Amino acid sequence: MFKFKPKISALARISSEIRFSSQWIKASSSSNEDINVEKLFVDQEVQKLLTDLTEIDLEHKVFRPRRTSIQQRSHFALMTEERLEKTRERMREEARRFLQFVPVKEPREESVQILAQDSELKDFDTSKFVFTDITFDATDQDRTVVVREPDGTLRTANPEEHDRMNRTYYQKPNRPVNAPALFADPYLQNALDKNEHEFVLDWACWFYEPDDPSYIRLSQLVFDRINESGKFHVITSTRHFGPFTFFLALNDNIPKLLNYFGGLGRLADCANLVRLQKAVRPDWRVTIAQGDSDEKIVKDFIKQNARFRDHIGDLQAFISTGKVKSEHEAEKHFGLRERLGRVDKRRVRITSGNIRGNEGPLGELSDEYSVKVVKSEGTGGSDGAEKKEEGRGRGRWRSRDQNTDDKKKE
Amino acid sequence: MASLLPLIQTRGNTVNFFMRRSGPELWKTLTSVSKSGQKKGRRNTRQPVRPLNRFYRIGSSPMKVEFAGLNAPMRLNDENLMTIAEQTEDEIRDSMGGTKKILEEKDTGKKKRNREKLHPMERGFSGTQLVGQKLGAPPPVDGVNFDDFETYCLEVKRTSNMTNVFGRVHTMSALVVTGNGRGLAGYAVGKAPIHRTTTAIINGMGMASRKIFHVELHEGRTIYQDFYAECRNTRVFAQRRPRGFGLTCHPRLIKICEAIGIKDIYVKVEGSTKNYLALTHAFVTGLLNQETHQQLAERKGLHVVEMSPSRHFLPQIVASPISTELKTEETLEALDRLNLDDFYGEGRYPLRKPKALPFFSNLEGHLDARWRKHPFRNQESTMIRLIADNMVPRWTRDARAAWAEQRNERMTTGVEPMPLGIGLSHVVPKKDD
Amino acid sequence: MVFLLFSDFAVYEPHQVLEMRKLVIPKYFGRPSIGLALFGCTNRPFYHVCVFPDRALGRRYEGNILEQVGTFDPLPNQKNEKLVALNFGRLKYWIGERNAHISVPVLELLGLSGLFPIHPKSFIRAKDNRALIADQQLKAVAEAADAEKLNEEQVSSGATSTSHPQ
Repeated sequence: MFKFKPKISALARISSEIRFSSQWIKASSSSNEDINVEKLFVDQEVQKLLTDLTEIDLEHKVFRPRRTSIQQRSHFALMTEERLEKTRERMREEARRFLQFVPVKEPREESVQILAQDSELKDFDTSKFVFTDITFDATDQDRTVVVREPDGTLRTANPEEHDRMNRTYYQKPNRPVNAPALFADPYLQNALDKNEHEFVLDWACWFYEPDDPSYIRLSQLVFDRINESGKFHVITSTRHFGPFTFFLALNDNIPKLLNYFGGLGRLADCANLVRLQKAVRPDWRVTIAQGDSDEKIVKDFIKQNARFRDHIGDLQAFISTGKVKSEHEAEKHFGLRERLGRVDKRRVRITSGNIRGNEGPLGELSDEYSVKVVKSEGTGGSDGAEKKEEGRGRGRWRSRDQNTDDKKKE
Repeated sequence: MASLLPLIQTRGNTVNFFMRRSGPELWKTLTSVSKSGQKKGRRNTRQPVRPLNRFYRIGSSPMKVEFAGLNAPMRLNDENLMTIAEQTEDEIRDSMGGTKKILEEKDTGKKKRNREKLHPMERGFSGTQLVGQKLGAPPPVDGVNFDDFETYCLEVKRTSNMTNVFGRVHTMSALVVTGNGRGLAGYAVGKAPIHRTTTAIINGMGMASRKIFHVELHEGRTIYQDFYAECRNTRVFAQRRPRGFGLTCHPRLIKICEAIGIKDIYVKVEGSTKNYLALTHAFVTGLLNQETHQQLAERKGLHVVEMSPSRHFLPQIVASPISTELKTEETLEALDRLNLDDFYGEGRYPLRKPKALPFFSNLEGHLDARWRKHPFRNQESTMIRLIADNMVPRWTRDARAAWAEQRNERMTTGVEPMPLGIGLSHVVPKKDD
Repeated sequence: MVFLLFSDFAVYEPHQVLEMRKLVIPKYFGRPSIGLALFGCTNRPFYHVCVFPDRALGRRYEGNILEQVGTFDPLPNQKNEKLVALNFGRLKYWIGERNAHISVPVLELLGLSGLFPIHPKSFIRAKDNRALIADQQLKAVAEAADAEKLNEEQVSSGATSTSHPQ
C-alpha cells in the first residue's frame, strides 16, 4: 500500500526560501529584500503597535446594530455603576476577541508533488480523476487530495483544487463551491462604492484560507482601493485594520493614513504609525529614541519626508492650529450610510446632569425657568404591585376607579 | 206598496256586512294583536294595511257607468246624466291586468338597499357591519378638538332589561374605543333605543371622548414591561415585542392597540375571550399600571440598562435616577438582584400549547405525497446555485433546453469528448443498414 | 439444552433431525462486498461506493447497504474532472479486518487513487483508448487528404468552367 506524503519535501522547501521578494511587498524603497513577512507580522512589538492602532469602537463599529436571523426583543436589567462597568469590560474583552487580526501569510506554493508516473496508463480516460479522502478525523488543511491525470501521473492536488474539494464535500453556509461573483469587478467595485469593504473582506476571510493566493490578491486589492479613496473609516475598528496597516507600512504607504489620523486629532495614533513603519523597516533613515514624545516623532517624520507634503495637509493643519476636521464632515464627504435610518439616534438621555441645562428637556427655555425635580407619584412603585393585586380580581369592575381613588388619598 | 206609516224607514246596513262597517274597523280585524298575543310574538305576523283606494277606480266595471260630474265631464243637458255602456273586451282585459301592472310597478320596499362595496382594508370585523370599521373623529367637546382621534366600535349588542311596567325592554348597546395613536385613548359603552344602532355608537363616541386616559409607551410603540391583568373571567397576558413585530393579539385588542398607538405586542387572552368589555377593562388596567423606565430607575435607585441582541447585548443606559440617589454595590439588597422580567409578572405565564400538527400529517396519502416530492428537495437551491454560477442565463425551459442543445452539439461534433470510462456504458457507433 | 438434544438425536436417522434456523446479523456475517451502487436519475448516473453484506444473505438493493464508503461521479464536471471521494479509514477496516470482496470498478478506482496497484482493466482500457485515438487520427488525416484532393479538383474544374462562359 502506498503511503501518502502530502507534505512538501525538504528540497522543495529550501527552494521556496531562496525567493527574494514577498507577495506583500509591492513597492518599496528599501534595498533589503530578505524580509520574512510572516515572522515580522507575528513580532511582539509589531503586534502591540497594531493593536494600539486598532481602536475598539463598541458603539458604532464592533457592536453596531445589525440584523439578526431571528428577531429577538431587548433585555432590560437594573445595574449599579460598578456592575455596568464590569459588563462593559466584559464586552470589551468580547470585542478584542472579535478584533483578532486575520493572519498575514505568504501565498502557498502552487507546486505539486508527483507520487507516481504510470505511462502505461496514458489515455485511460479523457478527464482527470480527483480523489478526496473523506476520513472522519481530518481537518480542511490535513485532507489528502490526489489527482490522476489522463497521461497516467498521480500527483497531489494544487491548492486551488484542494480547497475546491473541501468546499464541495464539506459544505458550510455561504461557502459555495465556486468563488462568488462579488470577488471580481464590476461587482466588487459596486460593493466598495457602497462602503461595504468590511463585508467583502469578512466573506473572503470565511471563504478562502489565509494563505490562498486568491485571498491575498483580493485583500491587497481592497486595501489598495481603500488607500486610494481615503475611506479609512470603513476599516478602522475591524479585524482587517491590523493587516491593512501592516501592508501600508511594508510598502511605505502611510501618508494618507497619517493624514486621516491627523484630521481627527489622534496624535498618538500618528506616532504609533510612524513607530510601526520604523519597526517594519528597521533600516530606515529615521531613528526613533525610546523617550521621544508623539509630537516630536510626527514632526520629525514630516520634516524628513518632504515628498509626502501634499498628502498630509490635514495633519499639518492640526499640528499648527490644533483644528480638528469634524467627524460629521468626514461622514458627509464619504457618504456614510445610516444603517438603520432611525432619526432619533441623537436624542439625549435625561440625566441629573443635564435636566437643568440647555441639553435637557427644556432646551433654551432652561435659561428662563428653573427646574424643580419632584418625585412622581406614578402608577408604579412597590405599593403599585400591591395595589394591582387589590384592584384586580374577579368580579372587580371598577379596578381603574379604585386606583384613582387611592391616588386621591395620597 | 206604499206604507201607511207617516215615517220613512232608513236602513244603514244596506248592502252587506262589509259595507256596514268603516274601513279602519275592518282593517283592525287583520292587524290588531292582543296583549297575550304580543307576548307570544304574534306582532310581526300580522298583515299590513293595504291602500285599496289605489286599486279602486270609480266607474270601472263590466257595466261601464258614467256619472256626470264624477268620472265623466259635466253634462248640462238633462238627458244622459248617467249613461251605462258595456265595456269592450279590450277594456275588460285592461282592467283585469291593471291591478297587476300597478303591483309590479310598486316598489315593495322590502328590497335591500344597495350599499357601496367596501375595500377590504376598510372592512370591519365582518362584512359591511359597522363593528370594527374606522368611524372617524368624535365630535368636539367644550371646544376641545379631537381631530387626530380615530374611533372604533368594538361590539354592538341588543340587551334586555325586565321592568315591572313595560316588561322586557330592549336597548342597543355599543362598546366604542377612541384614540389618537400617541398614548391618549378612551372607551365607553353607549346606549340607545332598540334598532338605533348608529345612535348608540354616536353616544358611545361622545362618552368615550370624555373618558380619556394617557398611556406611556416605550419608544412610542410597545409596552414597558410584560404584565398580567384580569377582569371577571378574562385573563390577559401582554408581552412587549421588538420593533416591527406587529400586533399579535385578539382582534378587538388589535383595534384598541391601534387606537392607543401600540405597534408591537403579543397578548394572550385566556378564559372568556368574548366578553369584550371585560377584555378592554383588563387590558387598560394593565396598561395604566405600567411603570416607565425613568420611574423604575427612580424607584429602585439603579440604572435601567438595555441589552439588545442585535448589538450583541452591549449595555446601553436607558434611564438613570434623577431625584433619588444611585445605589452602590454595598447598599444593594437581595430584592434588587431580581431579574427584571420577574418583577411584574406575578409569577404568571400564559399557557403555551405545542404547535398542533394538521390532522392529515400522519395519514397514508399525505406521507405518500411527501415521499413523491422527496427527489425534488434540492431543486430550488440547485437552481439558485446554477444561476449564480452563470451556467444558464435564465431559468426557463427554453434556456435550459438551449444549454442542453449546445452541449449535445459539442459532443456530436467532437469538440467535447463523449463521457466514457468506469461506471458508464459503452458507446458503439450505429450500424447503418 | 439444545446441544444435548442434538447429541441425543445424532445417533438416529438424519430425516428425523430438526434443522434449526440460524439467525445472523448481516453486518458481521460472512464476507461483505464493496461495490458501486447506482443512484442518480435518467441520463445522469451517480455511484455511491457501498459495503453490502454477504451475497448468501440476498441480493444487493438500497435497503441492504451496510455502510457508504465514498462516492463516484462518472460524468466529468466543468473543469473536466471526475470527482471521487473515498473514506480510506473505513475502507482499510473493511478490506483489512473483514476481508471484503471488492468489485472490479472499485478496484480500478482504488488502483487509480494509489491505494492499490493499478488494476489490469485500467491498462486494458488505456490500450484500447490509445488504439481508438490512433485510428481516429489516421481517419482524420485520410479525410483531410481527401478533402484537399476534392478542393484541388474543384479549383481546377472551377477554373475550366469559368473559362467557358455559360
